[in-house]
Amino acid sequence: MVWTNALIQGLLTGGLYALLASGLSLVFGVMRIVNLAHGDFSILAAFLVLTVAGHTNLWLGTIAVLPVMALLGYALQRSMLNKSLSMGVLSPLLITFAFSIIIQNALLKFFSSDSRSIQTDSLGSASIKISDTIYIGALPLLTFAIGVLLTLAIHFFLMRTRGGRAMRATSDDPTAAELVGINNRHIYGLATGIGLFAAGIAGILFGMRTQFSPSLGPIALIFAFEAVIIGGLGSLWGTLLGGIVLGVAQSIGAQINPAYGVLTGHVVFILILLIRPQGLLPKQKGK
Amino acid sequence: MSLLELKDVTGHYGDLQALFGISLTLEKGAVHSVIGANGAGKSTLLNIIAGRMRPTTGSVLFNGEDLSSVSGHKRVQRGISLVPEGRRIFPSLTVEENVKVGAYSKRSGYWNVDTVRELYPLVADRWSRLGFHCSGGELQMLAIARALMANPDLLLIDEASLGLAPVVVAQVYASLGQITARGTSVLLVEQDVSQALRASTTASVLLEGRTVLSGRSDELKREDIKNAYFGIGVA
Repeated sequence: MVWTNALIQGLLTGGLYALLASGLSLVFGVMRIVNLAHGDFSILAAFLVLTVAGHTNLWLGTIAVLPVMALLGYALQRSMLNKSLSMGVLSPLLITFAFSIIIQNALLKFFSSDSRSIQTDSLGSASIKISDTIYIGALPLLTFAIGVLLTLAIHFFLMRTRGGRAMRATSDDPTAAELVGINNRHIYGLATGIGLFAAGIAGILFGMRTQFSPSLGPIALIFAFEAVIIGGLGSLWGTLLGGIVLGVAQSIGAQINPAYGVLTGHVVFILILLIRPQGLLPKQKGK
Repeated sequence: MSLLELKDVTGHYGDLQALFGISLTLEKGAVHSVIGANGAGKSTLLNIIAGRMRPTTGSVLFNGEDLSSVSGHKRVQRGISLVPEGRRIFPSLTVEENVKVGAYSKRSGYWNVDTVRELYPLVADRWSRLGFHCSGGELQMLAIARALMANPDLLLIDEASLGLAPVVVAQVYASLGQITARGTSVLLVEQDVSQALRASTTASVLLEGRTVLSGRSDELKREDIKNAYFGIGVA
């Protein structure tokens, strides 16, 4: 029964990793940029919600912060990252690395290095009883559901809307996209906007579930990156699966020995890189 | 007012000059072919008109508007569509999606999903197939169909016949008549001289970035074109 429990808890944690990774995956899929500040943007969103919620309430804070994250993503892409795209693969990496350092230090300056958490009242402690030994926390379940819903929403956007079609076309061939009238810079801005919106959701839910501090961004990035690689680069559903595999691996590792949780996740990540480097659900050739 | 007017256009790739003072006028409804060997500057000319590269000097006027500050994607909204060399079909989009993404600029006109399917039944037959899996002829027709979805006033076609079977080339060229009948002007770039002359009302020959011959397609003498094409007797 303990293993079933570990599996369920891991699955639910995987939802959080998938959420963290979905924005990273989208941005990489469209622009081939690895946003090294992705985790820091998540933590930034958590701190912003903490601040706004302190003056209003949690839900208003969330509703206020998420559009800000999307706008921030769009603005950073249009003002800085777009220029770096034509300067080789190193420039975007360096710029996002700079964002990471700036965000971490700004958070340290304004919030100190203390660990915080976002108070959720009853939601954080509520749970559903499955059996005498298995309980499913309401918040992890909500996180998982949001992870699946967000993946579905991005999938719907990419496959069924004019903007999504333009985004996929730009991802395929930016030059040809310009030739059909698509403004690539705008599309890239949208992709990063959606990416940071997703990072924001992940950061806020992360902050509700556990304690966070300004230095946590890089760790969040590593989990997100592992989920993306396990699932298959640029594949949205692969990213969801990658997050789940990572979550389950960590949970089962922790069941063997509490100290092995994160380590097991890393080991599974390396094993998948060795055995199936294209990931579990890779983007198909031509897709 | 002419639809398109190039005035003394020069173009460079770094230090290398590819075009030397090209002037060209295209009237509404006309088909003009630019003929020339590899490296003559034909694609450069189309890229400058489509906004993919900037001329070093000279101007491009479209419907009387100077396009020098109009970026590539906005030129599609103005009514210029380019069918590029190599077709550049989006491989991960289906044929249907490739066609529909062509209407991104939302210009209205005769061409829509139904009319391009009618124009190219082969494209309609491959509707659900990924662009990645299409043959050369299908790709060429799809590329033209995609460009038509923007309802352009001017269609630029770069090497329509390149790498295609003669029967497919004939089909592609046959469709040009239907396209111009709907009011779209066409600027063709071709190495296949016979096809280009048959399809166009006027033609010019480029040699090493300069226009060395131009005139009405039915009046140009084959011997003169051959000499211009290969630079025989050209100073």
